[in-house]
This record gives sequence, structure tokens and C-alpha cells, in this order.
Amino acid sequence: MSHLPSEPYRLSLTEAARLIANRSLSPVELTASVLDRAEAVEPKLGAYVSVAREAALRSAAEAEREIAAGQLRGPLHGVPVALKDLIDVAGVPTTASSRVRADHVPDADAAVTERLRAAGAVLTGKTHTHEFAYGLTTPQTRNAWSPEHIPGGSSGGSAAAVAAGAATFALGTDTGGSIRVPAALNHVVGLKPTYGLVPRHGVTSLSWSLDHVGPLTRTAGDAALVLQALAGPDPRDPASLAHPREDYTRALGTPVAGLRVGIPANYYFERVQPQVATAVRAAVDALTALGATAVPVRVPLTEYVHAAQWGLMVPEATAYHQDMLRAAPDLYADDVRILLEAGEFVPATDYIRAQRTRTLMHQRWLALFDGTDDAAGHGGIDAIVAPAVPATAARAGQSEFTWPDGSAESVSDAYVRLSAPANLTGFPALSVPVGRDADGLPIGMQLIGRPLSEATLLQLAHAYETAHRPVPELAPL
Amino acid sequence: MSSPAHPPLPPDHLAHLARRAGLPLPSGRLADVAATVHAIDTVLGSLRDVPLGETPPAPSFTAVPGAPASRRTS
Repeated sequence: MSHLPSEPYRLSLTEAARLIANRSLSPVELTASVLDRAEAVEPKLGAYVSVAREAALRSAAEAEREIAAGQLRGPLHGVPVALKDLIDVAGVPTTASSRVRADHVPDADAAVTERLRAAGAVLTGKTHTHEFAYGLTTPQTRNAWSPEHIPGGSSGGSAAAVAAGAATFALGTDTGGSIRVPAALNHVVGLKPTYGLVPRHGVTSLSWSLDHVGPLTRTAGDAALVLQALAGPDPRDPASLAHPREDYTRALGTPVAGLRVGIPANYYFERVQPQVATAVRAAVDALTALGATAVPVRVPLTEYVHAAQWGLMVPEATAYHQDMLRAAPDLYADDVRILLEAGEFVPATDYIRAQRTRTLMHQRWLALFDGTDDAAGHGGIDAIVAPAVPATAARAGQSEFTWPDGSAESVSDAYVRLSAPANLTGFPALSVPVGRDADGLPIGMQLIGRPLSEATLLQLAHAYETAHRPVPELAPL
Repeated sequence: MSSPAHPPLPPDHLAHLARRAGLPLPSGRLADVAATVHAIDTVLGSLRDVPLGETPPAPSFTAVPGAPASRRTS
């Protein structure tokens, strides 16, 4: 796009940044457009807990002044961002979409909020999460592409907002798929970075072993720009990696010839809707047509993913909520309350087994990527390409999927199933839109890379997007 | 799965465990919570089959301030 559109809320972050930098677009104009769009679609979408219109317009005006004075901070300067309501903003409630936290007002910004402010981004407001992130459906919010379907979760509000143009980009968290699932179900890009790459200080915890913070954006290029601003060590987060800042945009546009993508022969294509499998395999073909090499691989220890995920998440969530659960049990939604109660009774030795399984899984996945695992030598891979989720969006109120083999599975379990390995191993995983099913519901693939290989994942996704989805579509609300 | 099935947790046993944990569970909730505990136990049962050998738990603590726990990245 080389001219200013009449509806700036339609711009991707990359496009908006370019137009702001060359003074064709005012941050105030962009922010007003996004806020107006948010207000217009909110009755149908239910994405936001709270919108901070006046504060956002003030920030946008300040950004405009700075830019006019020649002080452009970078590509996020003057661009509207929505934050999942687990992420602290000083003076604004962090409700976790829960009655338990309705009046919880932090004194200080989360680390990621600080970094967004330093980059000059404009905070639009807080988006709905499944209560305390402990679920995959975000019942308060609807899928941006269909009001009868769920947006997924737990970052459902953030995904729906970006999909609808009600935020140029957003932040979410991902413990068992909570960025990638709603991204896939709403036709946006979602990145779960390497564990520890983006600091979690000031972000409400679900499970310390599995929590990640990351961006939801229109494009892979956008995600690279946001990761640029968020990544980096923070001594306040004990899991934070002492990894130096790097340029996540450096490989965008570089040919993918020579990159080896592993296509799982097990797990990731089992109990998957046929249209989802077809769309993802077509995306693999598209990547090989662009020069990547596809290699069949067997993913190790998949039979223990479910147990390891629950063995870590259930006790850790209960531990975090112990005091609140005793003080105000009736304020929790039923589905969250019962899991928190049941988590008191997981034996410590099961938790430790889950932690040991995690170590083993991490070792075996590194060997898979290095090509030194048990399977016949495949020469190593740069990324796994697989479905992000096994099904498109479930209907609101739907409790189960039934698979072609006759088995039934809860909606939550189905959505966590393909996400959990990257939470357990801490490997980065990027969800990318690859089409829509016959009902118009979005389908996403995920690219999983070695630790700290975000630039490679973004390179692959950008190559795919450039060839097959050059203009990001907004949901037609 | 080769590990033995987990027996369901009788609600009165759960009540005792809940008292021990200091978690007040109204009697009307015991059956549902017990069912959820059983469902979780059944899922976690497969952890008994993992070939763990000498594998230690994933580290989350380092004694040296400012230095990350050893993390092989590539």
C-alpha cells in the first residue's frame, strides 16, 4: 500500500510505521481510527475489558509532537496496542477477567508495558482473557469471523481485537497455547517466544514453568517489530534469559532456500479436522516451492505431553491462587475454581516427575532439531511445520469435538494438545494464518523452532505471507 | 498404558485431605472436586511410564545472582 487509506485502523503495524515515519499519517489519526473501530465493533466482539480513550489520545498527541520534533523512537511510536488483562499498567485495574481481581490496581507497569511505552506505543486498553488465563475459550468474547463461534483463549480478547482492527497489535500470554490458539482461530499471527526471552515481571501468573508473553499481530513482519521492543533480560524475572538484544527483522525477505522444515509423521496431524490438515499441508508445499526442504520427522515423547502439561500447570496454578481461593472462592468462575481446588491434591512426586519429564523432552527435542535423535538421520531441521490447532473455532457452548476415529475430546484439551509441546520445551512457536475452512473459519499453522530461532521462524512466515497472503485481511464486522 | 488405573477418590477421603490442606470445601462440592481429582490423577498416571533414568527436574533456581541457570540453546 503506497497511499494513505481512508480507514487507518486497517493498516498493519509495518505499514502504519512506514506512514508515520514519513509523516503521511498522524498517530492521533491512527489512534482515533482504531478507537472508533473498537467502539463500533465492541458490541459484537466483546474483546475489551476497558478502553482508555482519553489517555490513548493524549499519548498519541505526545507521540505526534515528538515525531514532528524529529524524535521518532522506532516503528512502534504512535501505534495503538491492546494488552491482555493479565498485564499490569500502572493505575489501571488488572482484572484477569475475574471478579476476584476486579479492584486490583497495580502501582507499576509490567516490564513489557514499560518497554512498549519506551518504544512510544499507544495503550488502547485491556482485553479479555479466560479467567486468570485458565481456559481456552474466553467466553466473554466472540470470534471476530463469526459471532456464534468462540475466539479461543485464553488471549481471546487480544486476538479478536487485532483481527477486527480494534487494535493494530496486542500482547497476550501463552501457557498451553493461549497466544497461538486464538491467533489461529481469528486469522492473525501469534508468537510464543522462547521461554524467558520476554520478561514476565508484572504479568499475572498461571504456571511459572509454562508461562510466556508474546505479540498478536496482522503479519509476521509486525511480530518481528514487536518482539524487537519486548525481548531482553530483566533481573526482576528469575526466568529471564541473559540473551543480548538482536534484530528480529534481519532475515525478513531473505530467501528460504536451504532451510529444512520437519513435517511430523506422528502426533501433530492425528485427530485433526481434514480441512485443517489439507490447508497446512498446502502451506508446507508452498514453503517447499519457495525453496525450503521438507523432511519427515518423528516427534519424541508425545505420549507424555498431556500428563507433563497438567503435572506442571495444575499444581502451579493452585499454588499461585492458594490464598485467594481460601479468601474468596465464590468469586471464581466454576470451571476455574474446580481446577484450582483439585490441584491441591496432586502429589508433589507427580509434580517432580512432570519437571523431570520436561527436562527429558527438552533434551530429546534439541536432538531432533540437531538431527542426532533416535530416528534415522534426517540431517537436522530448522523448524517444525504443523497445525497450530486441530480444529477451527468451536461454537459457543460446544463442549467436545468428535474425531473421525470416533473418539471425543473436550474443546480445551483439543486446543491445548498441539500447543503444549512448545510450552513444555520452551521452544519458540509462531502461529500463521493459512486459510479458512468451508464455513469461513480461520485455519492456522504453527512453526516451531530451536530456542532463540525467532528470526528464522519469522523469515519462513514472512516468505509464506509475501507469496500467499500479501495483504492481511480484517474480519468483516 | 501399563500403569494401574487410579482408584476414584471417595468424597469423605477428599474432605479429610481438604481439611489437612486448609482448604474449606463445602460438602456439596466434594463429589465434583473428587471427580476432577480423579480425572487429573488418570492423566498424570502416564508420568509413571516415562523412562526418566537419572534425569533431574528442570531447573528454576540458580544460586548465582544475575547468571542464568545453565540453558543449552542450540
